[in-house]
Amino acid sequence: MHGYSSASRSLAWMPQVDHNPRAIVIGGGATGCAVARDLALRGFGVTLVEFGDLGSGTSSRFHGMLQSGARYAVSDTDYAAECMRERLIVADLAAGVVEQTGGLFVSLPDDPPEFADRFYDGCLSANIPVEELDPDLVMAREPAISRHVLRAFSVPDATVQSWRLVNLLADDVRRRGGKILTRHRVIGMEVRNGRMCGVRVTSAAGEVTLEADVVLNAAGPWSARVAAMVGRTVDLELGKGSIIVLSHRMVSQAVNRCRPPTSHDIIVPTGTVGLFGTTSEVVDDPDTTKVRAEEIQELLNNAEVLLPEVRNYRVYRAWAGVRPLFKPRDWPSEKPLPRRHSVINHGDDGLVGFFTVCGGSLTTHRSMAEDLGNQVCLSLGLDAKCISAITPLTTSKNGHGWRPADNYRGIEEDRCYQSLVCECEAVAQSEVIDLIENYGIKHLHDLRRRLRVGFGPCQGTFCGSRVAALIARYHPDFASNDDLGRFWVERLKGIVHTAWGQQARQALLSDTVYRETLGVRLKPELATSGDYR
Amino acid sequence: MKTDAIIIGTELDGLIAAIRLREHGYSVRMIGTGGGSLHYTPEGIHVLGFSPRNDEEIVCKPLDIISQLDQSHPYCKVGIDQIRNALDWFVNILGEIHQKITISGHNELAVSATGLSIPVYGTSEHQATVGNIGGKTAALVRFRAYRDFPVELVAIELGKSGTKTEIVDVAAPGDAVENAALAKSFDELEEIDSYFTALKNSIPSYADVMLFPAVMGLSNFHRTLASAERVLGMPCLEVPTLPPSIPGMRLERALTNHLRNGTASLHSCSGISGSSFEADQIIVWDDMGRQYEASLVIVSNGGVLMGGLDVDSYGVVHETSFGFKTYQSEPLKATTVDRSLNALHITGVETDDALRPQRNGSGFCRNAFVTGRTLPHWNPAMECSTEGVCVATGWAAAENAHEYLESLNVA
Repeated sequence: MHGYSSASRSLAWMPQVDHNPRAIVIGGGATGCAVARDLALRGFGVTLVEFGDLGSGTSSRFHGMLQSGARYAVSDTDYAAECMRERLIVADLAAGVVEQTGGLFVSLPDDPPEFADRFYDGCLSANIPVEELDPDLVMAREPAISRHVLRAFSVPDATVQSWRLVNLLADDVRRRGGKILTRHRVIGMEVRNGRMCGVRVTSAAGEVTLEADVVLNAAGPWSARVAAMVGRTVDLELGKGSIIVLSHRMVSQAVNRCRPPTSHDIIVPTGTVGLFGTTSEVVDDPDTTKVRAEEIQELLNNAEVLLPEVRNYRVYRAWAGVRPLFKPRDWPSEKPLPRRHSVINHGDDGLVGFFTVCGGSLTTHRSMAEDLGNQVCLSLGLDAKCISAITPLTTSKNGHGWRPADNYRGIEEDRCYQSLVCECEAVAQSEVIDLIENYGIKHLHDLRRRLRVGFGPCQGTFCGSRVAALIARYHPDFASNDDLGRFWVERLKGIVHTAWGQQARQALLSDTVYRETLGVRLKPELATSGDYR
Repeated sequence: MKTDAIIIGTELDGLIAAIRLREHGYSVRMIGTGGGSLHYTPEGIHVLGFSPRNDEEIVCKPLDIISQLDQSHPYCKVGIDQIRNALDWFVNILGEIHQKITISGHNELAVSATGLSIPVYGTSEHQATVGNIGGKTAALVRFRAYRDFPVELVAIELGKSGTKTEIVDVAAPGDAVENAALAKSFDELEEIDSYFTALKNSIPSYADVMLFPAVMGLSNFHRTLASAERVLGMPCLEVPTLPPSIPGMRLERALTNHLRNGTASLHSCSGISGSSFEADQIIVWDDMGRQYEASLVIVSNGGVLMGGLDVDSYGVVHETSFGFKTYQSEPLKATTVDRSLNALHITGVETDDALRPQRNGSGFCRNAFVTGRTLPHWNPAMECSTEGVCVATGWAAAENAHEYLESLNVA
């Protein structure tokens, strides 16, 4: 197995610690938060360091699927089976953020006809419950999709509110005594005698060195950069994927093309919107999240096969994320890279106490953490079992699973109709104030990620200044022009790509409000700054 | 029934053209879907607040730099003399309809909905500007449960520019929490003086100016603000709110009533479903299937913003009612965010210097004129020039239409 440590060699190093082992996790995405939770549950003192906000990288820049694994049933049956196992565990642990939509795989005339049978068999081999459906029935139930469905299969795909999941994991870590440091950037590592001893981080409060017995690199597409700080190589292939956001869910369940997994072949209903994606392009820079105009046409041309009327739909925006796939050593170049994650024990090349976990997907974030945790414990000679799958998330509400109407139910129950700050996504003033008061959140973007303010049709036109006013109540250093301007420019980055039909009108209306009514000036430095994480 | 002119859209520019054509004695019919973009723009007459070349460069004397603009800019097509005439005429009209505007020849700094400054050429009586509140102590009114006035931001920004502020929480009359409903509740409040008398106790004694969100009445705002000033004994000014803009609606309402009194026909709530375009006669069908005939048409349908122009998913701009040729910078979907957005703002129907559009394959029309946001080569949001361009082009279109109609009579 590539990248896996040899247990015997690692056991040669026994830590001289008389306290609970201390771990530093680098990266605040789903993987990093799951790693922190896994180790906290095994008794580690955990500190998680994230350079932006929680879940602001790849964890929030994908199509939101909690995979049944059916997508990989033919190409990678083992990985498909792992997805199915994990999908059930995640839906159980974090029911409140998972929507059990179900998934469809449809064969269209363009798709290879022999693939359907292989798909069915692959699902069975991977223990994925699969059922072939009558195509006429499927077309009747899903009026938005092509009228040329030849075969159709139902699988237990689901969707996940990834930001909420990441925050649930992080809150659970906090409750177990762990520390979560957001907006802390790792600038160096402390190595003594070939052993990792800590990391140096910088934040608004200045520089500080955090000591640790182990350092776990879970920085996703940035993990190669993190490893490079101590001269270690992590060989990643970064794949940029762009997605368009349709104004409605369009379909009742996630609909995939029944063909070998490739680009732009899936629509996922999530929240109040439908996501169609994704393009696929190898990039060098993990910060490359710029969507090109040609990608939009490529997406629309392909979407038209599955959703014939897509060009008449309103599309709110487009965005891109970077997926890190691990390139195992000596992997044949013509073979698609494995989807399964890898754990690298850098002790194998002379840096004891430093591990990297990479590859995998959001669906398998927990098993990635388990695997890493096992190897960390093995290397430390600790006998601490993984209990993350059987320990309830202290922060998760039990119940039926998340549904789009949940926000509205809350408002009905609280009778807080007049305090909505965001009509598009039904966000109440009390939710905003809770995050500002109790979590110290003071950036518009961080509120957006947690509450979906600015996600709806108006893309922050009305809620932006309302939320800003609430922030300003607590933080008098709020600067209208720069803070609101940066928020609007970030929204614009996605909107300009899909500014046709009603959304073209929306883009102009929003810009009119921001500049003529609010008086915000889009200074060049706001327009050229990088993504706000 | 045939009229001399049909005006498509109920934008400021269309209203201006209609009023001016009525003054020349022509019969006019306006067809539009209702609420124009005046509902989205704040108080005051914005002529040119910022240089079209730089989002941050404030213009002091807009009329002095018109000649430096690109030749394709609507202002250059209208020309400086006509712009002056149009603005003078407009201020006179506003005086007649009780919407007093002061023009001093240079831009004032108006207070925006977040307390930032926006240069404005003509200010109305109760508009908060840096000039009339600077150095003072302002009581900032926060209506309970009202969301569309970010008063905390106004307080912070005014504080930076030397105005002391104190936020005062008060209850609005009735339970209204939306702009139009709030304005209506002030209009309908019978005991207006006692409302402000009750409010007086919560205002700090050291305040010397009151700032209200601009929702203090729609048809009856003069009465409300006069009562406030009388009872509170200090200037009472308005700061813009999120849309819909009540001051914009006041202006639209006053102009519309003025036009109705002049017996023009207004058909709001209908869109255009088709047209027949001949050299001397234009027929328009609305989406109720009604047919209207006229000698000429003025298209002031608000461009892309108001749905007068369509952008398709390939990024191509269409004028669908008459098939006029459009301008778009190539490509509409540019490489950077600000350029893409600007490209979207500056699309429109291409015209000659007399604001006459071209139809597919033929030359410039003699009997059609285009105004306001339907014109290309200007970016209202960046320049803060909406009212100026709308008034100037609406006026110029009416003058050019007058010339055309006269030539018909001579023939």
